[in-house]
Amino acid sequence: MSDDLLDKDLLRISNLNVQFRTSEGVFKAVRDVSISIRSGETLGIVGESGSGKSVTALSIMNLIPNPPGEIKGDIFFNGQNLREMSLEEVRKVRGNEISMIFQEPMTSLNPIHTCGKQIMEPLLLHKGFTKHEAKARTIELLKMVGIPLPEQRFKEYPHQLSGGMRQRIMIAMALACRPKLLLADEPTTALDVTIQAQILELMKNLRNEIDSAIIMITHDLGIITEMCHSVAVMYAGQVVESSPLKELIREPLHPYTEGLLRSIPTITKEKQRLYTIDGTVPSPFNMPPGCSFQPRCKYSNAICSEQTPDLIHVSEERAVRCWRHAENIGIGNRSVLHG
Amino acid sequence: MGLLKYTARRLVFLAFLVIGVSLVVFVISHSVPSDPVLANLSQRNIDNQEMVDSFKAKWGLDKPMYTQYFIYVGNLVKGDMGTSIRTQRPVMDDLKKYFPATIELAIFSIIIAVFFGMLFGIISAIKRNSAIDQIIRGISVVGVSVPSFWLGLMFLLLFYVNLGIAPGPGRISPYLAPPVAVTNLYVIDALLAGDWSLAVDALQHLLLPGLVLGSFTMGLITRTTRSSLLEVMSLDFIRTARAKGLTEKMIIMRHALGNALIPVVTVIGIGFGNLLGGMVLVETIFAWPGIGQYAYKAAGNLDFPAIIGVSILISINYVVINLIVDLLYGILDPRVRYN
Ligand SMILES: Nc1ncnc2c1ncn2[C@@H]1O[C@H](COP(=O)(O)OP(=O)(O)OP(=O)(O)O)[C@@H](O)[C@H]1O
Ligand code: SF4
Ligand SMILES: [Mg+2]
Repeated sequence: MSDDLLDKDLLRISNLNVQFRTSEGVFKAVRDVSISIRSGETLGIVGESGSGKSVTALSIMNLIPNPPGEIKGDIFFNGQNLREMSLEEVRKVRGNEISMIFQEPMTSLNPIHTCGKQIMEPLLLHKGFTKHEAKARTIELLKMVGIPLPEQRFKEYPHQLSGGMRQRIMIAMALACRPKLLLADEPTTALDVTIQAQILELMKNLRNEIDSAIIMITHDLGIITEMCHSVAVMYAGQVVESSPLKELIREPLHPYTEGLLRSIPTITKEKQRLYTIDGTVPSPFNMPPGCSFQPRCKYSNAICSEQTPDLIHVSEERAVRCWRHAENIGIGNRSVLHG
Repeated sequence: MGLLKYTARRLVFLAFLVIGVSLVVFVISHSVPSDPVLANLSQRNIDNQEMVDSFKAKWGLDKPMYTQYFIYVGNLVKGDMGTSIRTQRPVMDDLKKYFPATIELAIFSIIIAVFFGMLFGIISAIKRNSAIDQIIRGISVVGVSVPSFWLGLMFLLLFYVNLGIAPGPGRISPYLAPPVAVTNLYVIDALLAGDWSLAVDALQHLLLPGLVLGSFTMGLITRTTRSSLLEVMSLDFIRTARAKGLTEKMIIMRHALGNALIPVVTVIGIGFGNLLGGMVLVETIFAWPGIGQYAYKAAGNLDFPAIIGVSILISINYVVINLIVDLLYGILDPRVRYN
């Protein structure tokens, strides 16, 4: 990749590998993931449960517990490699320039501090706000995420709030310092549709107002189509396809993506049947040789079960990890012969 | 406001508990096959029917059990617990005389146990699996498992007899006069009188018995603090705190400790119970003129008024400790406070 491109990317992850050493063996949760995102853009990450979406996001923040986790690879943020920064430098970025909305709203708040205090914390830490200023900003944030009676909620403890409310507290906390990069891990799962729309709108505003970038992890393809410029599809720890949104919808390249898109119920179709992809994700301790998707793939052929496909750039902006497309551009044939 | 209401509720509960405890102690002591008339009046008075009648009337012994109980409580409220057979003094006066020595020792040893127990536990957790962690864990096992009478004798032998660096038994050195009685806690009274050297002398005398008495509690608190802190550090909200960019020290102080101390409070309550139990032995070994020794001698002489008095006093102590523990829960954990 040229230096020119490097500069435009707010975040560029290359060859991220995360593994966990468990009693059952070494478990590769994320394998050779490379993604990049520019300011003002939203990148969606989709994939089945356990495909490594959260682990990828946590790695950016360097929040993978070690032991058992080990991170390898480069993560460039604003041209600086987060992996090579000292912990002290990483701390200045965390919660300030990069923040994260966690997938677990029920347990991600400290039960013994008031919600207000927890939201204020990053403001006091990074922005040098006085308590008074931080409180005013916090009340404003609470209003922004659609929390009624913000002054009262400010003083309440997490256990006094519902799951949806806690989720919104988490969102307010993540937005507090107006981060340049927001990692949103299933941010709206616990929320009802109205609030969900409101929160998505809020994130869009943040993105447009201060030119932030958002990584949106979700199972909900509706959110992806609504919010994202580009999409990375993950399967068994790998990015199997990355593409701008429109092209992906128009013409999914990877058989798994194709299956995912067919699983969206569309009202126009007569039969509103939910398509599901047959089979299950292979066990990480027992990955099939060759393509990880091979056991479930209807296009699989001989080479698929023998050699692992690389991520192949089929165009400037699209990449896919599948032999079918390697063959299309003439890489696969050689490998078949050699294999 | 939650805390005030909570305290008020606990205080009402305390009143009921004291009534209950006095009833149980009263019933038990009156079911013991012994004649209070014989026990309390001298031989000559027993022959004097008038004296016997007036004694019986005073304690209501001629009335049914429940009336007796009310008379007993009536006397108790007026501060009359009868006269000790052994000392021939009102039990109330004896308790007033001996209790401060005990409470001074108990408070001292619980402070030592809580302070060092928590300190060691925190160090142990932060430096998990290091040499210092191993040493601390070794000490805490010793503290929990070695009987206090043995530890007491060993301490006296080593520090007083062999090394000569600790003072001998008693509350102060024999050549010193006790401070002017205000609280009857010598250290405090000496400080009130402005007599520093006396305060230091009293503190030095507290050291060995205090350590021996608190060793079990200290070991227990160390272990609980360590495991509790380690557990809390792996929870989701600690990850949130990290994601905010807080330093490890801030995370421990602001987010982890408060949560980790909740189970430690339970252990402090248990430890205090153990402390009162160990009091008899430790006071005897260190010639400490407290309630433990008084109870020991009263039991030896079948001095029932004294035994009942001590029982009630100890029960009240337990109740007060439980109250303090409950209040600590309320202070530490908003989930308790708001229920
Ligand atoms: N601390 C950990 N120790 C061991 N394994 C872990 C740890 N954290 C995550 N994993 C494993 O890594 C794999 C990927 O997990 P991850 O949370 O990234 O999945 P995900 O794509 O976010 O799934 P979901 O949609 O369910 O959130 C999972 O199999 C998970 O069990
Ligand atoms: S490489 Fe083969 S098995 Fe894998 S997705 Fe492509 S066609 Fe299917
Ligand atoms: Mg996840």
